[in-house]
Amino acid sequence: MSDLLLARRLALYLLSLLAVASADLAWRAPSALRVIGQAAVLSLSQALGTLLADALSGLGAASARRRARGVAFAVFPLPGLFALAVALAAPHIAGQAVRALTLLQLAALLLGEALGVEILVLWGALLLGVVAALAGGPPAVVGLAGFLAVSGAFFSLDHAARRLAAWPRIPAPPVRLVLRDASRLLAVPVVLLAVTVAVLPPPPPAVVAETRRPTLTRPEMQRVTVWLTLVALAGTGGAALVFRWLRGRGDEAPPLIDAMETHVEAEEVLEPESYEDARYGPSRGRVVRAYLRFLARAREAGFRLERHLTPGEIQDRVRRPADPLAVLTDLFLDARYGPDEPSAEAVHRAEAESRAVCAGLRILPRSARRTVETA
Amino acid sequence: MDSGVFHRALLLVASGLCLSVGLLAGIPALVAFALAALLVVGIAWNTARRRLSGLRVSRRAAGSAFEDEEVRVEVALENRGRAPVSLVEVGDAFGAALADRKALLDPGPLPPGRRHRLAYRTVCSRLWGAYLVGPLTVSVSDPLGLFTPRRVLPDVRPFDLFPRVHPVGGLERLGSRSSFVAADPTLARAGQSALYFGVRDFRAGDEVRRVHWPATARSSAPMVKQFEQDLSPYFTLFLDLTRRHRAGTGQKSTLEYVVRTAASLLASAARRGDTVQLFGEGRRALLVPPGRGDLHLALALDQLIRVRQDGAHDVLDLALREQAAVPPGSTAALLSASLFLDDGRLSETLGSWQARRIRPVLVAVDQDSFLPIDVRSRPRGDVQARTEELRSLCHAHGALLAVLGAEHDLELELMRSDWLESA
Repeated sequence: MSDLLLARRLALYLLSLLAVASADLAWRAPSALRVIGQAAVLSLSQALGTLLADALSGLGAASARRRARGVAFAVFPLPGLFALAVALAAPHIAGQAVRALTLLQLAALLLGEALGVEILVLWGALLLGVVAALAGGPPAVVGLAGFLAVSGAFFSLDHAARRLAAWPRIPAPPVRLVLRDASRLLAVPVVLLAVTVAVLPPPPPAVVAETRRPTLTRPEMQRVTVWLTLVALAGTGGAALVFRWLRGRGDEAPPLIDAMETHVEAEEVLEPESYEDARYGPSRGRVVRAYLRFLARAREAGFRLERHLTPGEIQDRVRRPADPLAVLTDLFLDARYGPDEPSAEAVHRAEAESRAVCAGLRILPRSARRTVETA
Repeated sequence: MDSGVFHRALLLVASGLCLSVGLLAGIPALVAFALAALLVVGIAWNTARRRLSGLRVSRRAAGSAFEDEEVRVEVALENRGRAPVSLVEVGDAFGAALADRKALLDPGPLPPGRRHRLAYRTVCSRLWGAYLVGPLTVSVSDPLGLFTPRRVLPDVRPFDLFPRVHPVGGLERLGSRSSFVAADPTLARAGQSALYFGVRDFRAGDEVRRVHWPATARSSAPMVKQFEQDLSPYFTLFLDLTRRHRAGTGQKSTLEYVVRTAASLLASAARRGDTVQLFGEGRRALLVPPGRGDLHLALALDQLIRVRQDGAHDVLDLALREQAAVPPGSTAALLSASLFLDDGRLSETLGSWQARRIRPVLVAVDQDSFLPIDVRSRPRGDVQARTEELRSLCHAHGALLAVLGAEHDLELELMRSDWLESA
């Protein structure tokens, strides 16, 4: 379990580093020293965040922590969106927006674990990745594809850790297995994204600054920025309302769930499903279902088959195709009313005859069904 | 709330934001990112559902238990899908336990075509009654934990929780004789056993195969063989389910005392090897035919936990009506929820049993010591006087008497060795 938690923290750190570095490299002159500094500051922030989480674990009621979490959810996303809007509207000060977002990311890393709001770290990384993508070039590829890959890894580790939290005595699966499963799912989207971004690169930062500036500073784009801010405000307000609503619902007593100590007592090889087992139930049921399929098809073909009709009367009405229908009716009668379970051969035959009868019935449009006389 | 919901929401919000910004600002990388994020969500949704569709769960558990007994429930989890699954959560509702649901986690990985056997133990903490086990639920997530679909399997089975039973003090001395075995197998009277008793004159209706030919030849008149009558210990219990004898609530109620006492009497008799039968008459007739062994005891207890005090007829009416079902030489117990039974009919019942060498036992629950429901409690002086009357009546008919009141700890009282003579 500790391996999972450590890997989860590492994923958050990598995500933050990737986002901060790509955004920084996209909008400022490359500097290895600066990237190393960012890595150091981010690691320090996360280490302090872990210490803070440990220190706070013994303090504060759950309600206080929930309230703090609500405040964090309401406060953190807004400046990030504002910074993004600034970067969109005025690329020449995008570097400053990146710095602001980096500071926010540091704060999110510091408080994320203590308040259980790691998702804000992901949100900050996403905004940094978007800002990096505005500039284009390799940082955009790394920022966006890296965000998708590392956040997916974080999701899988977080999921495994949370599931196992209720069963502390169950051994945690190895981290590599968790990551292997996640990578199978993420491989196609991440590769496609990386290739797409690489093949269709956006204009480099300088070009954006020159050619996009007039567009982005046009009145309609300013309106877009205003709208973006308004939407963000509305979204934050909505989130706060939902939070309050959920808090109210929490007053009801939750169901009492007993997480049982579980261990796998045995692993057995499954016997192949035999035909007699009838995958969808006993063979009697399969014959009846085959007959019901025929009935549904006959109704679609325009036959009016009332509920009171006997199978013999239904056979008289439908008539064609005669032979398979007669066999199907007999098999159905045996299965439905006979004392013995139908044999495998009878099941096969009923299903084959049902298919044959259905193939012989032409489906009519709904409007034409009432007009069809019995054959 | 499940963290997967937040993560999913983040990916969807991210794709919405990137798509709108990408389209507005003409940045294809952001559009591609939005589509890739949506693709991840879609693949995760599909993976979770596919994984769940391949899972089968079944349960194996006992159908009954006694209060406070620990029950083992086996759960078989099968993976009939094409990919291994991990962290599968199986939920089960066990009505007789306190928790609403039991949750099990198979850490996995469970390879395709394999079955994992899991088990859990739970204590039947609730009070006796008929409960349900199930439904089973199974849930599994995609590798990222974005979606956790759950399937409910309608595997719901009844589970009978029987009252705790205690060896009833004094019962072992009833209906048995001094012998090497716990009970005499035969009675030295003419009957249908395999033990030879003697010969007598042929009477109309006697079977021809019973004719004793040597004796017939000697006496020149048809003679038949006689066999001893089978006698196995027999215990009959008549239960008072009269509505007007209801009193008290919860664990301090006449119903509770009647059912728990009846369960202990039946269990003690059955475990001693007696043939036991049970009669009661609520709104629904209660009849457990004579039988022996643990399975028969389970049947009797199964019927017992379903009784209600909603009958209209007195237990004495029932005992008189069914007295033919009580074999001579056996033990019969009247379990009344009130001390105030009709003296005349009680005397008649006990007298007729005494005449047939049936050992009578009267267990009376003092209704007036419980919280009254629809009838006001009688003064304690009247109750004391009535207890004395019952004692003298039972003494006159050689019956054993026990009186139970709300002030008694039922379990301790039942286990007292002199309980049946204590009144």
